[in-house]
Amino acid sequence: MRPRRRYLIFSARSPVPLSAEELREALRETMRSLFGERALALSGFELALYDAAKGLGVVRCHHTYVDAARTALAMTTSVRGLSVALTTLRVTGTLRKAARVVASLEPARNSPVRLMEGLQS
Amino acid sequence: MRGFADLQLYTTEAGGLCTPCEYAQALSPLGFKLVSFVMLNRLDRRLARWYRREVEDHGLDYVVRVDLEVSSLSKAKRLLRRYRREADIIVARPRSLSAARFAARDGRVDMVCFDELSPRFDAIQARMMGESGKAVELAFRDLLASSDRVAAIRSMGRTLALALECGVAVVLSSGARSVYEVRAPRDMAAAISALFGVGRDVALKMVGDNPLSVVRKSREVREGVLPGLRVVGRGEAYEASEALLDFLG
Repeated sequence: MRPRRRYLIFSARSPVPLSAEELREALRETMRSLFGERALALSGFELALYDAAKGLGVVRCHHTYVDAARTALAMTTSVRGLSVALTTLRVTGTLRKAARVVASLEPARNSPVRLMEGLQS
Repeated sequence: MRGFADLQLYTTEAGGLCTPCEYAQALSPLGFKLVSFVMLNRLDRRLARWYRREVEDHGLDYVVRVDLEVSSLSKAKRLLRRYRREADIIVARPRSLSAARFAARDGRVDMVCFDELSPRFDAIQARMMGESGKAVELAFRDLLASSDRVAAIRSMGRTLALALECGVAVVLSSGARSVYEVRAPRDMAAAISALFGVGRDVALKMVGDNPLSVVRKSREVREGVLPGLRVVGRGEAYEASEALLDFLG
């Protein structure tokens, strides 16, 4: 049976804008160090979308690995040696919905206040 | 009160890198309702007033917290006498085994936090804390910023397992030194659940119900007149009291 996927929308708070490639590598490394290569392979964990200008992204994973993916996001503390805080804002069942949510948010980077206001409206 | 609480944050006054305003801005949209900043071995009223103002501007409730490094019992008792009536919560950071046992027994201590300078949280400690209704506080930062993450996970897992086995309430705080170490409550709960195999509901209680309950209980005790009695309202004296006073002469 095809595994059900989940899409975790997250905000990235960092002193400088991050590139998608750097973030992808940091996330994979955290996932690998915490849960091992087996979980990394079986979870379908992948950075699906990242909007560097907004500091918003979407991570894809299988539905049984949502907590592990959330953990990997929360435990990622630095990218390129710079402090970073990744906060899961919402979990969706389709990439289309996740992309719509990301597009609807117009936050100033580093401003979770703006992010959550956008989600609630 | 429903919501989440982060009871261990370090401002610039306590060796952190951010101001209370910056923390409040970061915490408020994440669903936190209660916040508290560490004041080590002292209660600075001016600072507490400033913290309260900054935090309440963002719709958060401020909890006055005093952390006592307990090494000498006589000093700990003196500080407890001085601060108990003014602080919302008193957190003990034991520096020896006897200090840890004292913190578990003393009714004026609300929580015990085992940091890097504390002795190990052992089964006897867990049993004593379970019996006296004390909470143990864990800092999520230990997992984020530790130079040896494996050891940090092992240590937190051991503490968590013992606490849950002995019925000790676990309070999970961020322990953040800067806003980059602040995490959403559901993210912290998910991490605890995924890393230690704790149920999701139990993990959520560690950032929600448990800290809120510690603060509520402590405030009730402070407002109470006798154990089991509390003031539920204030108003005019009961009219019969005058008659009673007349009768008593």
